[in-house]
Amino acid sequence: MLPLLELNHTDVGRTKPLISGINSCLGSGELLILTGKNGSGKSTLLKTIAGLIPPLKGNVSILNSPVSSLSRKAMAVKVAFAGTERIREDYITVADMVQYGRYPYAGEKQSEAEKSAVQNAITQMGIEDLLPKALNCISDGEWQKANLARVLAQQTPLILMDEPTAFLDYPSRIRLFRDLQAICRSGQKTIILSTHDVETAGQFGTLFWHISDGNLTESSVLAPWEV
Amino acid sequence: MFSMRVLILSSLALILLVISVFLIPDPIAPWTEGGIHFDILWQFRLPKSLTALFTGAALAVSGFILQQLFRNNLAGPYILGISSGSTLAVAILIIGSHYFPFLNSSIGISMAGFAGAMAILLLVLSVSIRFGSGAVILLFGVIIGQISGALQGLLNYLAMPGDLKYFTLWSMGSFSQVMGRDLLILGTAAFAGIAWAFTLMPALSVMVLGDDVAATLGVQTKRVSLQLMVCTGLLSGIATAYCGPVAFIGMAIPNASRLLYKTANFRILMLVNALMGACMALLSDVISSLEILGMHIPVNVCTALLGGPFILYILLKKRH
Repeated sequence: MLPLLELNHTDVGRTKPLISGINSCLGSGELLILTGKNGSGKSTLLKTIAGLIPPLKGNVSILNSPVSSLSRKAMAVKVAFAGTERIREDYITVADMVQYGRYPYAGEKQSEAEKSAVQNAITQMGIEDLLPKALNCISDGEWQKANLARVLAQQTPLILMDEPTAFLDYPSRIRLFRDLQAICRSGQKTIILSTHDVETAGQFGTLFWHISDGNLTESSVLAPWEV
Repeated sequence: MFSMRVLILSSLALILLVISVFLIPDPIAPWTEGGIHFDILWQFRLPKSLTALFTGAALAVSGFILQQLFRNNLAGPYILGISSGSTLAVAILIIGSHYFPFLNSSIGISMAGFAGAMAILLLVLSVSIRFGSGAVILLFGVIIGQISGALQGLLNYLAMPGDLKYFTLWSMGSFSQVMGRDLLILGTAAFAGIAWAFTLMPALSVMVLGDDVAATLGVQTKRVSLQLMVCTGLLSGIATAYCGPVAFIGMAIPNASRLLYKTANFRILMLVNALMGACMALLSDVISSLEILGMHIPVNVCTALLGGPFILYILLKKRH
């Protein structure tokens, strides 16, 4: 089977390598939990996979094409990315937010496939009631749902999320992880998410990457958290 | 409801246009033939009103783009130093012509204003290519504005009294100096700039999510930012060149438009900005054409006196 994501001898960082010599190969249907201390390079790694930062050495490939050779448009239908920024504009509704996920498919507007992509994302996240609400009037938990619906509407096989649990209370975190688990299982998608919430993540993750001292270790169970 | 409000705005712009051409300061019927009134109507009032319309639209759209691009509601054509560049170039032309007579003959005020705006824009562009389009650019624009203000102060100190008054009048803004070929250039540039901006609006609207997320949605963020900056430079540069540094429209209108017309469709929001900017400029023109207390109030005074309280009212009402 075609590997979804491949990293070969990859060094990650902006100018100096934060993580070096990453070798990994991911298939679909995984919920991968990325852990590491603050400043260890979690965000930088996610942005490198998203094609926002070029790798310092080695290469990153998505479905056998090197990320460096793909255009922004071509990347946008393969990898979706959700950053840490919380948008609070009062003129943007949750419905608008989900619609942004269809930007890579602009020009195919109003087709049935377009409508169903948005509708499926909304149903899957159960946010029908939130649609008319402005982004400054929803809670952080609701924001993550809207954000995830946007990412789902983008219909990519790989989803990257930078600390989606950061501002969520315990019940919202559990709900988010359940949603993510369902997405990975049913949609044959792979999600990579960074988090400091190792306890909750440990219950739901299928694969774990842990960064320490500039190295990345992969395991099927959560790495013990050294202090 | 939304399209109704857009319709009301368009009608308002049309009504203000009719008032400023045919009714103020005294009514002249459009079917007047020959004579002084005919000339006033078609040679003076119509060009003046059209100038106000184009300038207001251009400034509001460029302010809207800058505020979205820098995600800062205080941004406007002033903040990048574009207006200061124009003003300084015109000051050099008007005041310097006493010392260097060749300045007087070779190029007009509008050319100097445009060249000044473009010079600053090139500087800003080269800085943004090197350092990105974040807060550094805003700071850079403000400092450029300060330096240019200091140089203007020096020029004012050296100026002949007549030149100083001429420059001061220009810096108060006026819609009545643009006609014939100049009006055609202003109108074409405003139209072209707004049309260009229109094509970039879907990308700009996605950039609300932040540059990183926008890039992963397929937006070429660097290229779009660059194009938008050239576009705002064109719009505000040409407006300032012909009408002087018209205050407040570029800053006040985008804020007002977002509050009154809540929509994530930036193409519509941008057109709303153009219409509201045109309305504000036309209203200022109408007021400055009226004789109040035996004098004509300069356009810049009108836009500030209109825009200031209006924007404060809206902001305070929203906070409440």
